[in-house]
Amino acid sequence: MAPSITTLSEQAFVAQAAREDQRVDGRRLQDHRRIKAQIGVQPGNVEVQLGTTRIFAVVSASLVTPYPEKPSEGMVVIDLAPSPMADPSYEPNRWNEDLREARAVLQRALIRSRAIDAEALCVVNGQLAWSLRIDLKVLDNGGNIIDCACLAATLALKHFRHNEVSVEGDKVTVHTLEERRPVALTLHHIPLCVSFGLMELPSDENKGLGEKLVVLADPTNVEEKCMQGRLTVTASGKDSAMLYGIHKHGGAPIGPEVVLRCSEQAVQRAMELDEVVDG
Amino acid sequence: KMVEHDEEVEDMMEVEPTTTDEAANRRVSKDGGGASEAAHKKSDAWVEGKALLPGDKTLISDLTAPHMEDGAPVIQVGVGLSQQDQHICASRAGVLRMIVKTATDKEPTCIRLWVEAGGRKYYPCVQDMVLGVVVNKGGEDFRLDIRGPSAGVLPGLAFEGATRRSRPRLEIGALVFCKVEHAYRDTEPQLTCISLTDKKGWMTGHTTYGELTGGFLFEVSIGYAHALLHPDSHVLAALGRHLPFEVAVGTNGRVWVKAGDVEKTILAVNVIRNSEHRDKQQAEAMIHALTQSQQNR
Repeated sequence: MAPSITTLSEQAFVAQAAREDQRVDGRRLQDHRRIKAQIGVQPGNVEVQLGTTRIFAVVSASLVTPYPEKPSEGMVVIDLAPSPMADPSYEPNRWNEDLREARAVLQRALIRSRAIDAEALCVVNGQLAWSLRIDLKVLDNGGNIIDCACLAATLALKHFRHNEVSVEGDKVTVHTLEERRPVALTLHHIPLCVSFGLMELPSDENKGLGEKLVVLADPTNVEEKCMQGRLTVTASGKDSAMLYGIHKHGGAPIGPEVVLRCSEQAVQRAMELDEVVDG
Repeated sequence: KMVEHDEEVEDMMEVEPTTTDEAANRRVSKDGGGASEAAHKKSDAWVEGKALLPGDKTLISDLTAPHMEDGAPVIQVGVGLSQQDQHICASRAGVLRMIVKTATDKEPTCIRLWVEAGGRKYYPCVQDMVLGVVVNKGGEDFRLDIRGPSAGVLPGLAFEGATRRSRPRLEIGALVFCKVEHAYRDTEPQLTCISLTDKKGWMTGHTTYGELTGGFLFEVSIGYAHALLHPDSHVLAALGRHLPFEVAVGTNGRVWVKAGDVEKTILAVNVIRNSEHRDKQQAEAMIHALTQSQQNR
């Protein structure tokens, strides 16, 4: 299927509206869309809806031998896969550039930031450890996959339980779910990604308007096609406001004041989302 | 009773194509009770609004029976339906839509049928008016994406009053309102911007078809686009009572709206998008609420 193209009218309209602090779905530049999260019956299954974007997350674990260079740590793998029904430009078995970037951001947010306690995943030093797998499936692309995916992954991790394992000397027993209550993961913090779209509005001599850089919070897929860059800030608002990462993959050049402003907004947003995550 | 029903269906499947009368007689004689036959026939009768599943069929004679006063009617079979010998068979799940044009001096009664399904996939059909987006310019022709299996071809001269020297130059990404002229199954659909009723040239901008500038384009389901095009559609009428706007609805599920300023256009876009499953009162209430919230900003 051909990738969807942007019409001149969409581009012109989104730019014009952005200049007046308006967006096509009636939001303002800094408004976010509504979130709806559904916890599945099986622990670790979560579906999150951000506006029209839908992502399904599944966490699963298996016992493996840890890497020789990290004998006291478990492993975590994140996979973000598209479903062809999500977007006409998603072709099965084709490498998707946007999702590859999103996956890199998620890896940094969840794994590199040490949100999951890797040492708590270790069962027997050097011999046995839990290997976690977070599978994310994009069911519907309404824009801003990164934020939605991060929230889905975080909720799934919080919700996930694995079998309890007890070690006595050399004997390792993996208890069934009936014998012992399954154990939750140890999460140091809850990282949440907040993305901003960057639009460079051209100057318009007829109307006497100069160039302008506009920042759209939580872009939709139409806006993503019309914008010239994205800035993603990973933050956590619980207990203390913390920044875990800033990601910008090329795109329009921005000054430090934009980065600072976005970071503040991201922390703000993370604090709002904490209620969703806790609830 | 259930056994009888099954037997009857099986019989229909095996019957060789005979005259419709014979087949009808055979059905009547197979089933003993006339009452159950009538009831069975009634619930199966193809009327406007009947829900159809793929495989549902009806005899052509059953379809034309109520309209035989002015002679045998002509049946136009549309999307989702196909003719198989003496039957019309549905290949799509959806709602049956039927329009009956009564006979005039020149033409017999015409029954037009098609199956309407929500879906977003567009299959080009001749005489459809669609909104296409220019994806490619090749030689003298333009290639337009019309949300179908393949892009449509719009010849460079297919505009009213266009000559080699003066013809529209469309950019990639331009939006064009045009008509499907040819739509054969294995070739690219042919499009045109020439209308049979237009008298002014393409340069005036007052033609039925042509490039649409400004405004905003968005996509809806095919079924909703058909509903919007229906003269009884309440959505556009209700919106028109609140603000002046220009709209172009393509049968391929694309809608283009242009109102006075950005705010009004956004209002119109959201009203149309969200009214698909709302009835008249709900749509009115929504327009009211949205207008209020815009004023309060």
